[in-house]
Amino acid sequence: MGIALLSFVPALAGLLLPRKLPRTPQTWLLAALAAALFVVLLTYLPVVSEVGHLEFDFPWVPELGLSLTLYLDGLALLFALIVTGIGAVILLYAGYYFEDSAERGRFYALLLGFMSAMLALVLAGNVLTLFIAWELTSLLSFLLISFKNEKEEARAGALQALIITGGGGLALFVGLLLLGTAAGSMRISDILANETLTQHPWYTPFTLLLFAGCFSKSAQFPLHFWLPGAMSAPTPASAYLHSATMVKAGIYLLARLYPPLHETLLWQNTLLLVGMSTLAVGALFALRQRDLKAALAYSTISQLGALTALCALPDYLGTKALLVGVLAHSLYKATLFLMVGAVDHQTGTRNLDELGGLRKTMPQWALVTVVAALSMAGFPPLLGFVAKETLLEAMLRQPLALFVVVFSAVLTVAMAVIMVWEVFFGESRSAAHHDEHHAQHPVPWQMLLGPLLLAAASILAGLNLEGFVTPLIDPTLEKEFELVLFPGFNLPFFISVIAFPSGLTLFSTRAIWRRARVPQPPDAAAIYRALVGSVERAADLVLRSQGGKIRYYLIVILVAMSLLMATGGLLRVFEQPWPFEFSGSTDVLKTALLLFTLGATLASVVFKNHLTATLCLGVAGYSIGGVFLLEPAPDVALVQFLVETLATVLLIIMLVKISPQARERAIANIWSNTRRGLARDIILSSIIGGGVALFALAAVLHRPIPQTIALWHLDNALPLVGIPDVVGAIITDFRAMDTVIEITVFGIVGLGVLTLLTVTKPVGDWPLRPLQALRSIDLRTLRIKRPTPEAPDAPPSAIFDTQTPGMRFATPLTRTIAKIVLPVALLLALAQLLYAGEGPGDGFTAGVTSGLGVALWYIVFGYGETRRRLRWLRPRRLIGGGIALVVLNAVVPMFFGYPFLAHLSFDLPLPANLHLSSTLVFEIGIFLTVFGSSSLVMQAIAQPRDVEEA
Amino acid sequence: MGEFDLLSSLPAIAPEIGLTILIFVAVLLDSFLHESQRKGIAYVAALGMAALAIVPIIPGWAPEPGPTGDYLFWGGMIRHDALAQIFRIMVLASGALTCLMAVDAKRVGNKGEFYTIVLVATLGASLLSASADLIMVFVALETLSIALYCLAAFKRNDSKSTESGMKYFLFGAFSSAIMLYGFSLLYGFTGQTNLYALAQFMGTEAFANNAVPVLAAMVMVIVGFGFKISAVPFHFWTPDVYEGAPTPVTAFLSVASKAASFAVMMRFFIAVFPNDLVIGDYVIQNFWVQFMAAAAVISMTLGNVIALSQKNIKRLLAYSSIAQAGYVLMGVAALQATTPLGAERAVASVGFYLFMYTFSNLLAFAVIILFSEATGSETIADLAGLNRRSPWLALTLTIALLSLAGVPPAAGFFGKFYLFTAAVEADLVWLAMIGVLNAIVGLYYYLVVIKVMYVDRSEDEDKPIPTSQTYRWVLGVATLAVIILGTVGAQVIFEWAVQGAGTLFALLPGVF
Repeated sequence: MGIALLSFVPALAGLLLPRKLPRTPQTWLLAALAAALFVVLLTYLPVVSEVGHLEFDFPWVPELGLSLTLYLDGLALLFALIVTGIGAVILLYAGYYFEDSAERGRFYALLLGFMSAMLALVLAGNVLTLFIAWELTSLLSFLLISFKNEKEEARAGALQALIITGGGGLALFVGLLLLGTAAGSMRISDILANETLTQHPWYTPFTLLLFAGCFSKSAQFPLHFWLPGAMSAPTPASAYLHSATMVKAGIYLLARLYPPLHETLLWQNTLLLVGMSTLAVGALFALRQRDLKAALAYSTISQLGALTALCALPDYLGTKALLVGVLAHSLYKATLFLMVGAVDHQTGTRNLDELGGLRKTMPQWALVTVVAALSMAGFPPLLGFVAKETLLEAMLRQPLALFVVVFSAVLTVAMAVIMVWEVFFGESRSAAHHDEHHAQHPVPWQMLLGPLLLAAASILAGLNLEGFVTPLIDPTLEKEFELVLFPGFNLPFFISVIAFPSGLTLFSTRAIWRRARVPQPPDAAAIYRALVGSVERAADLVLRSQGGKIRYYLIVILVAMSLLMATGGLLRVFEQPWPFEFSGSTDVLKTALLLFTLGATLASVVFKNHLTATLCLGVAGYSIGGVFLLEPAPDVALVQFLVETLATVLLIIMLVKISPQARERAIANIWSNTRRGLARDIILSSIIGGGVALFALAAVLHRPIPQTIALWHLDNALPLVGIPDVVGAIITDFRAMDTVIEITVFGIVGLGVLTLLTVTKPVGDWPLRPLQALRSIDLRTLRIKRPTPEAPDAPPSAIFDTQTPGMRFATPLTRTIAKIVLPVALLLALAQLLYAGEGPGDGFTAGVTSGLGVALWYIVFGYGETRRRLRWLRPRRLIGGGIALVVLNAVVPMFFGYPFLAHLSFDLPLPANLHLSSTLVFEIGIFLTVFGSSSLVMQAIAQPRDVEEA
Repeated sequence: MGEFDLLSSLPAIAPEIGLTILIFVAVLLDSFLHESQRKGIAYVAALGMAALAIVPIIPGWAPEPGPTGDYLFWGGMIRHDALAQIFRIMVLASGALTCLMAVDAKRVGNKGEFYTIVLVATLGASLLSASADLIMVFVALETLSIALYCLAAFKRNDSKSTESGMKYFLFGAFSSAIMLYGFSLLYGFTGQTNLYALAQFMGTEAFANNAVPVLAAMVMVIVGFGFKISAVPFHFWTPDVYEGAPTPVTAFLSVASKAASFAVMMRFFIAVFPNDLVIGDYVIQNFWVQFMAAAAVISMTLGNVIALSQKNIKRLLAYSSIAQAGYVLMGVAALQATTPLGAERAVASVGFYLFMYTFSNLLAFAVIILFSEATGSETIADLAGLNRRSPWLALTLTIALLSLAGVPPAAGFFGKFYLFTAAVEADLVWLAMIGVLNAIVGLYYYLVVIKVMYVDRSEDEDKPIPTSQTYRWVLGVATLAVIILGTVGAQVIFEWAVQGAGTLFALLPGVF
């Protein structure tokens, strides 16, 4: 069971590690720890080779199949051994690589965290835990790459690496999600046991997504470019993450999922193609690099390509070569990287042009490097040779692939020779490393230990395959297999034999081909940059939609709404039979009126004069009223007429208050629009208007319950309420509570308008300002018992109120008319009130009628004079009184055992057909409120800005 | 409608009652405390809300079916079920954290009315999470919105703040009006206001062949909700308001208001347009699910792409929040799942995502508030070297951003995991793919910010950002929440959300 927690050990060690520990104990302790882990893992080898695989379970989110499952088989064990074994070497090396202890501590923390994540990745028994570990390795890799963050290139490289691997990781995420869903389980053992995955309809999507993840992580062409960019990491990190372990995670996953997924052309062809291109591109590019680390990075890419290609082969043909290749590559490439670190440490450069002749100062390193390079070149009896032989053997049946392998083998040989020759032999070509420079940065002997070990491992493993390599790869391979150093004189051997002289020839002619200008193949880094650039440009483009102007925002909303409605089937309205037909002359008249409405509305848009336009709108409203009248619905028509009048009057007064110059400017602004703007406005308004019209049509055509409520009201108005007028019955009885609320709202609106329009100067702190204003108003009206305080003595000029612009309608004729109109309006209102139950008109219309009378006064006499002469008119009291009356009317009957809002009728013999009932009281209340509120609005609008509330 | 039982109805609005009391307390404290002491109101409000947030977790307080046999209380106005509880916790927690985050903000922290309005907004959001009636939905929505308008314009001497308040108000009023129109149409068609009764009525024979107006009404409702959750194309207000509003308000706006709106939106659509509702030859659910999927795609893509070119961190988070809304909409679209369990999972994934998003986003905003209060800057480039200035602060923001990007082990990973799983299980593989593409784009801009903090150098590296004790608590709690939700807590919360989703679907027909 202990193995389950094994992957947490390095991270814990990293957390608990005392920061101030001296170099030697710290380094050796950690290296020993990793080595101990290595040994612990090694003890599982016999069990695994016997049982096949082990599984441990720690429930986490079990019902979702998410648990800390460990899956340990030969493959996992091999990778885990590499992670811990190479890890131990790197930890030892890093202890002496960093001179600054703070830097070393930070590096250790990150590296140990990475080791944990990597172990968790290879040991994961569940694809989700695998993914979590996967992303963690990407993040830690990012932090390690940006470890030395002074250089701009380091930052760019770190970000690029993270975006490629992290983005690929997210693709992998969905791939794994789909895979898990398709397999019905997130457990690796279940997925491996599932044999029908290749037939699953999601096979192609999840395989491609998995590929995207693996290719990005394992630096496969064309996503390979992040790896050379990542070389700005400290060399121990490069050796560990970017050659031995993390970049092999993609290979690991491919190998892991190989059994259930590989039997398709998609899998085989894609992997072979990608692997082969990576192999060739990497090997080619490696030769062209002058930076040692970059050269190693490209050579790593090349090897990873070979490993990917091996995953492509059917029938487990490539498995043996894959496992040997992983092992061999980890051993020699880590050695080479560590050598570069040492050289860099000693000379301060890793540029091939500045190096040479180091065998004199670093003889041991030269020896180690020769061994590693020979292994890389595939020279017997090193493990690299076995790796190459098995690779060639596996590829025998793929002629084209075989050609690529041979080609890159030649290049690799040349690369290996360059690595040894140009660094350690020949003459020093640069002044960069003088002797005193050496003295400053001698490479401690402890740094050599690790590479020495790895190089020895390369030799020993090659010499004693039975003892070292076979047990490691044996558990994974199901079939019997043979692994020998020298299989005889077969084709792979001959190819090897050819490769060496060719490679050497290539090396010796390097002076020639280095001068040749090879056309650059498409550089994916450029594509990446172009992609990022174009996305950012697209962002800027889309960003233009965010112009900051509310009207555009609202237009988008309205258009979107109209389009949505259109998709919602609004257009299907036309498929319905239209139940419209002309019958009789009233229909002709109605049509005419509607056309008139349309014309008037259009005119209101076209006329540039505000007054005319407003009047046109009024005419349109009146025409609608006419349609109501023809319905016949005299009540509604009357309300429509009155409200239209009131609205027009209000609008005109408001317009008049705006100075003519401001109005001119506004008009000019609207009409200064370009033709395109005008066309746009027309199109938009047609879409939105058409949408609304269609919607209205749809609502009419699809009226869910035809007419039920209306008929009920018609039938019951007289018997239940005792009022022949249905509208009156609805207002005062059927929906009486609504009416109570509505008039209250009406009253509040009046007060609100007053508050908004009259208070302009800040009074105290702002949250209180409206409140204070209201309070002062109300208190004054309530407290003062005497008649309304004198209006401020208006100067004579106030009669022809010149302060308020536009108030110049006061001709003798208009004054006379106004004086006559108000009493007449009140009289009319009275009539409407008293006969509300029988004919058109009710409390509301009465209120509006009287309000219009007052409005005329304000227009003609102006604010000051009107207030003075109509002193009896106290709108706020009217509102209050009206609401109070209505409430009383509703409540008082309750004291006599009637329900709330009961309808009471008193059969008193009154003249003139009058009828006293609670309805009449109700109507009077409505009248008072509406009258008060409309007068208040008028007063508020007419009030000049600088006259304070009386 | 069963007999009204006051005692059994009170727990259904316990958080609201508590909030109302808190509001009065805050107003009184505001009147009696000296200006220098008014910061104390923040602690009172925050502790009060935190206490209220804990109430639903107390065992034995789990919602139980009311007197009418379902979870409806107060005449069908409130549906007191486990899902409502989860969303209330989110809302209350974000309210509490917002109050604490505002303490040190200049021109905000010492104003008592700020906390009062936050409390009112929280009240509205809390009520919204549980409302089950057209009237209640609208009243709660407006309680929330009007308070938010005021909050957005809170720095009234700051032209950006007033502009954002004004824009938010105009937009809000506009879309509220459209939504109200939709509500009134629904009421007009059916004569019902209760969400659950609406669906029953529309399912009857009398309603056949009336799909078109119903769809039109639905579109109007969608517009209203789309505004609240800032889904494209109703998103335009978001960046302007986020940038202009005081940052604590932005934080609150981005989580509480959004979470509550998602809650009520799911409740609304599941209740009013359930999957078995067929009017004429229209399967009504298809329409809104398709819309949600489309809105998810557009919101994710647009939000993420525009976020790429942002220089201001608040604007970046604004666009990121649009994209995040897109992810969540994926979960809503996954409601098309054919199995009840699938649909429950979809709801639960939305719940979990918003839960973790609440903490992640608040965490990000908390760091930004600290940073901009100390430096006066909200530019991403100015975050350079934050790792050296204040390593913990940089780490905190990193965790928040990683969570938003969906990188394990932060909570966002599980959020995306549940969402994508729900989408895949609902046969929306294509949607999940687009989601992933977007997540990659999203990863880019979050990582750029992290890179700036960790890698770029700045001249101010020796000037640490001062962090008060209160703030450390806020950051600590939120970070802990993000980490816990990303590790051990994921299962618990998701389980709970699945349970809550179960009660959401537990419709008991024949009640009305």
